[in-house]
Amino acid sequence: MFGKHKTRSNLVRDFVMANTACFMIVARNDIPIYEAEVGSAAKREDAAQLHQFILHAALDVVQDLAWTTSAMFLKSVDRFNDLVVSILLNPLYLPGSRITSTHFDTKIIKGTIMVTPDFGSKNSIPVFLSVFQL
Amino acid sequence: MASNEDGVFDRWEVINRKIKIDLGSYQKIPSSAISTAQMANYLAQFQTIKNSCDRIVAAVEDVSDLWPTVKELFEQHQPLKRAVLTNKTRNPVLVENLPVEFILTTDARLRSRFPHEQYLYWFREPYATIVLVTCEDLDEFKNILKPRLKLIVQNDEKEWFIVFVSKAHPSNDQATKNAKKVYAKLEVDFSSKKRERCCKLDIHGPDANFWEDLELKITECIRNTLERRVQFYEDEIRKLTEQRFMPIWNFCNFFILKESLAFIFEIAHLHEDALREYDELELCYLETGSFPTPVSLSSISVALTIHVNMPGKQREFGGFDSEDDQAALLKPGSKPLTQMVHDDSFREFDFRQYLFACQSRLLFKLNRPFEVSSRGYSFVISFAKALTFHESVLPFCLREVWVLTACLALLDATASHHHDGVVAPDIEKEFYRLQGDLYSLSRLKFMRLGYLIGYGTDIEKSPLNSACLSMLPWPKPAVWPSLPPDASSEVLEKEKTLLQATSRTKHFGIQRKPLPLEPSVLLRVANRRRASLSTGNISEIFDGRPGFTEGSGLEASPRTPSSLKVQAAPMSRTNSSPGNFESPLDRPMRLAEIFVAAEHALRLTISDHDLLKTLSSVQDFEHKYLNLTKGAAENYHRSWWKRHGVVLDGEIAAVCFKHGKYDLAANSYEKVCALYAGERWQDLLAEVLPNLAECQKILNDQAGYMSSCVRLLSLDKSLFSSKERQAFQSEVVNIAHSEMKNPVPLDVSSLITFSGNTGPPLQLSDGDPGNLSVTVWSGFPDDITLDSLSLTLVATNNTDEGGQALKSSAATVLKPGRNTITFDLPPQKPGSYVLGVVTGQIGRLRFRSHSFSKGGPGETDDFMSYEKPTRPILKVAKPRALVDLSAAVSSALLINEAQWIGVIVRPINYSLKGAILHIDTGPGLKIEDSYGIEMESYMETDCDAGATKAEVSVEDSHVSPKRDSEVLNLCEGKIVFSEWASNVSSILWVPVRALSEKLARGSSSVTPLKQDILEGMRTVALKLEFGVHHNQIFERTIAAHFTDPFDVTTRVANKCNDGTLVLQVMLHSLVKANLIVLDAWLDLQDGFVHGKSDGRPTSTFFPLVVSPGSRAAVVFSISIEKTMPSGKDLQLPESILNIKYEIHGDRAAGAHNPVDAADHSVADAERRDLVFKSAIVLQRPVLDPCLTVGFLPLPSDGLRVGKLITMQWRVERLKELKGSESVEKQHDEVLYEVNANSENWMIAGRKRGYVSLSEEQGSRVVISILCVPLVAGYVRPPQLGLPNVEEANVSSNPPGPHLVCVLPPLLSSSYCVPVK
Repeated sequence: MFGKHKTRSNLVRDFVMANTACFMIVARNDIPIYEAEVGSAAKREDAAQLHQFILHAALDVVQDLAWTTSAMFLKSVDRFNDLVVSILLNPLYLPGSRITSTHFDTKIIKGTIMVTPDFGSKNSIPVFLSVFQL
Repeated sequence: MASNEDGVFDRWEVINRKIKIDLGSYQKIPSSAISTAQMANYLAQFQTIKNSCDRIVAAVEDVSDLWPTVKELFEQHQPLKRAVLTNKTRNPVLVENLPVEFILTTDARLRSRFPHEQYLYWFREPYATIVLVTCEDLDEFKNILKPRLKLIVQNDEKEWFIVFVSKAHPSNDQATKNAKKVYAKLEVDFSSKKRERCCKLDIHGPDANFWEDLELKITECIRNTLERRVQFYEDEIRKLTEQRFMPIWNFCNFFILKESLAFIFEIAHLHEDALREYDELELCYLETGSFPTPVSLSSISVALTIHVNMPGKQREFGGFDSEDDQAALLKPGSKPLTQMVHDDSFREFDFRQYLFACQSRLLFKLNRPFEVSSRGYSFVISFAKALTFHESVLPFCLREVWVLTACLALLDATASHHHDGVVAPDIEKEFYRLQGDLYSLSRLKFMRLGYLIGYGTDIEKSPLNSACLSMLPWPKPAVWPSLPPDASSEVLEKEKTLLQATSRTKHFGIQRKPLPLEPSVLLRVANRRRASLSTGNISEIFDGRPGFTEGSGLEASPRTPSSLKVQAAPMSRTNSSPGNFESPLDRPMRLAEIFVAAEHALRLTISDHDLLKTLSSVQDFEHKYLNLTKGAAENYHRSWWKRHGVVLDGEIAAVCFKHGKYDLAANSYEKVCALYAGERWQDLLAEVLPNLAECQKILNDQAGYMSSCVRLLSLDKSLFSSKERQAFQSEVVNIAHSEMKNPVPLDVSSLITFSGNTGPPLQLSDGDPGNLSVTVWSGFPDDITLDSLSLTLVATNNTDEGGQALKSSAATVLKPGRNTITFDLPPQKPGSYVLGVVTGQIGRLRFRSHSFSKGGPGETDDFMSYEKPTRPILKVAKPRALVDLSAAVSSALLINEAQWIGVIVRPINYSLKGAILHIDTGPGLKIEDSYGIEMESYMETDCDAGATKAEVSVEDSHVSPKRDSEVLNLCEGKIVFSEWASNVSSILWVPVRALSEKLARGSSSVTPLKQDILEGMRTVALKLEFGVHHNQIFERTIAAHFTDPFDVTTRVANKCNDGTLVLQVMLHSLVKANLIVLDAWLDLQDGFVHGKSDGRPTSTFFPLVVSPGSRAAVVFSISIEKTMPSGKDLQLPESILNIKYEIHGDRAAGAHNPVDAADHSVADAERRDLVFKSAIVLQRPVLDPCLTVGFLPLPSDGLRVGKLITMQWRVERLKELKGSESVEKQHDEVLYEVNANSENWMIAGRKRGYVSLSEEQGSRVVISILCVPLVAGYVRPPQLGLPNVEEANVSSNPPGPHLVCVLPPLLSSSYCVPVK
């Protein structure tokens, strides 16, 4: 688990060091618009599906939490055995189409992506969900 | 250990010293009183005493033997209704219904205690001492009672008060008075200003105030005692706490103090404070323990990782007692404390459960079952971690069993304490969520246990179960249970069931690797653990890592024997370790053996018979599994976590499906599908949708089944192989063409999308049909034949009206991907239209698609663009003029001649391709059929320049005659336009002839011509049919004006002396063309003869050119025939003017050479000359007077104003009258009439009347009339007229009007006086 004041970059590091992880961006109406399976471990065939399943279920938690806390980054909202679900709400979300950029993929995998949460309103709920193993 | 004891003793000595000070009756506790050996005894005693005492005690010092009398009264007034106590933070707390037990000080329970005992279990000591006295004699009080009371109350540690009981009857005044006196004295002696310590109970009197007073006093005592005791315990606890990291620390002491304090609060009903004590106790326990794992505390919710300075000292964990597998986390008394104690502390396993049980008991008392749930869940999780840590020494699967039973116990207890609507809705939702979580957790553990004993085949390999189980590591006992010797038959049985269990093949032949339920291959894990025993080896270290990442290469079905071979390599390595080389262990266990061994081990672990039973058979297992799943689903549904609930519904569905309850299964699956589909998690949908489809197929729900197939097809293509997708399609097609009773409607919006073609919308004029081309995207993997395909258009301006459906003509085959379909478009109402819905039919399947794709393959999967199309696909213009028909020429044409009438056809941005013009001439006009209708292009020109432009066009026609001019033939009154005339203005020249029977008439001053403008008007009705299907109709009637070339005016220019008349004939050209007069002659009427010439003007004048609008004149010389022939044989009633002429005009300007005259086929010589005839009326002069009227001369003195004169006319008959009808009636009478201007004349006498006049020639009569002139000057005299005689027959003398002179009146002198 994370310490209390972990910076975002640390998050990304942990995120990458974990041997399996799934990163998803969920748009309005809980529609997934991006997903990436990342991690150094050999991929299990069914991992993607299980990750998706877990992340989908975690949306229940997101809905519960998103409106009760002012924080945008919810480090560990759900745990599924050893998998931890982290959530980052991004109010800067622009409703649009899928993210298909390969550049984005590389950034995610290299762990340099900077997702900047803005502490404005949460009118639209764009959710970055990630599940990763500790 | 000794030091520990000393520590304990020290503490207690301190306490005891306090007691000595406090009580003054200190008796030193021997040091042997508290020894380690006795700790257990203490604990036992402590627990017993605690259990035996459940309420606050008030001691009753019955000085005057009153208690038997008042006991009942006292006990009736229990419990205390409202007691204000002070809590730990010194804040007042209102406690309602606080029970208090009254015990006499002489009671054995109080008397028998040793002082140190009193002190150890202070919580059970009285909180108040009530001194009951009565006395009616003041002396007695002073001498006996008072000293005794003083002795009793001298112990100031006691909280006491005196109840004076007055037995005096109210009627007994003396007794009452005495009692009062004594009580007053009592008050003086014992009450102080600070504190009232007395109250009085009148047994026979009214006691309303007494009980309130008593309650207040007892409360006050309790409050004070409580405060003091709490203070004391707190001080002690603080001191102990400070030492908790020192070697002398003894947790048991701390525990007793802490729990005593907690208990004090509890019996005082200060549950919050009691709970806090337990929380602190727990925290302290965990703090001072040695836990290698981070523990998250439920109550404090702070994560701590503690390695305190207690090296090498580890508490025993516990968990080896029988029934330890059954969680006791809600049963504080399940195990005596003495059984938990170990050394100076407690076993973690038991003690933490004990603490939780105490906490939850208080929480239930506080009516907070929600908190029990939430703390309980966290507790279970953290406790399970602790169990994991000790798993290797605990019985097989104790952790799983404990978690399972703990969850179930929590569920039972909280559900029975929870009542809907008591707490806020938010909390209630959260409560149900927690219940769901607990159910889920227990379900998970139950599945794991089931799997271990071989029920794995009955667990659905759903994402949920897989995610739960495949990421949960196997239990890690030190040694995997081995097969009992006599279990071979069970193994055989197990193997049989394993072989029988065939994995269900998925519908549609979907080939998909089943999701795993094992974190790693059980066969391998079990064998390794069994073989390795406790000697750590590398594989075990690896095994310490979570199994989730273990290679998928080992996914081969654990049931196949071949997998054993796969395991051979690690096995052999393991077996090579020394000391384990025994042959029975050598042979790896088979899976069935593992299951049987696990089952046996579990039977040893599980003490709960009910739980054992649920694992005893597949049916029982499934029953329990279903119950747990349902419980979880129901609770999640009641909470906010709908997704969890729905997913669990899917699990229920799987069980229903297995048992053939397909309708239930379908219902649940539908919910799951709706959830995933709604949020478009396609991967998850792909997993469950085939199941739904299968249910629907079995249920013969064709509509649902087809819908599911379509949904499967519309999922992301990568989710299914093309073969599977083809299977979906063929299912759809097969069912559609099967014999269904009713057509099935189906929405295929996700599969078939459509869009208009790019580019501007199709533009149509009102009423025009057209062809609309639409792109339809098919998501079917193969070509699919549609029996019909329709498209609805929706008008954007009018949403009420359903769009009109356009049908595609024939069966359509949709290729996968893009198809272009063309629809015939009937005439639409004006407006713009967007695509509405595509409908179609495949067999009995009626499908419809609302889905609009933006077009382009790149965007087809862009599901964000769900909006309805807004771009119009079709625009139908409002009705407007599409064409204009007008007459080319406004000036007059020649009447009675074949003339070209020009019709300009002007298309207004609209094609006239293939247009048909109907020409219908009105009355008096006919088309010259023998000539073709000429059509030529028409340049828009100014009206003035029409002629020149027309010439230009003629020149153009020479250049390309085929393109823009041609001759068309009229066929049944209509002509068809040529291609070239589609878009350009054209002019049609139609040869017509206006017919008029009427002869032109000349006019003169005598007979002025009445011009009738309508006479020359003719109309041509035109009807143009055009548009693609001749649907457009334009009708116009154009007017044409026809006229004679000349307007003829005659006058007699001169009257020669020889009787010759010079007749001037003026010719006024009426046409816009040059008229060339070639010849002119007169056919004279009777009575006239030509003069010198032959009736023609001098021929040298001809040809005479008459320009448009100008005049010319011809002069004829005629004379009057002397000898009039008799009237009967008149040849000509009027004269005819004949004019032979030519016309030089342009048809584009007006009148022109007649069509037939211009016919080039006719030789010039034979050319028909144009002759214009006009009738002229000539009138012979009138010379036939019958009567003569002569104005007789006036008197010579002239006329004077005011002077009466006689006017006289002589009428004389010149010849006999004959023929004149008017006269015939009165042959001898003549009607006369005098006309005079009444301003000039005043007439006296008959102005009108008959005079007789003989018919004989020469008869005369004089008509006289008296007149008075009224004005002077030359005025016309009155005239005599003969109205009955035609003017021609009257000869007047003087012949014309004449004037007479009237003089002014004479001056009158009668009144004049001569001036001298």
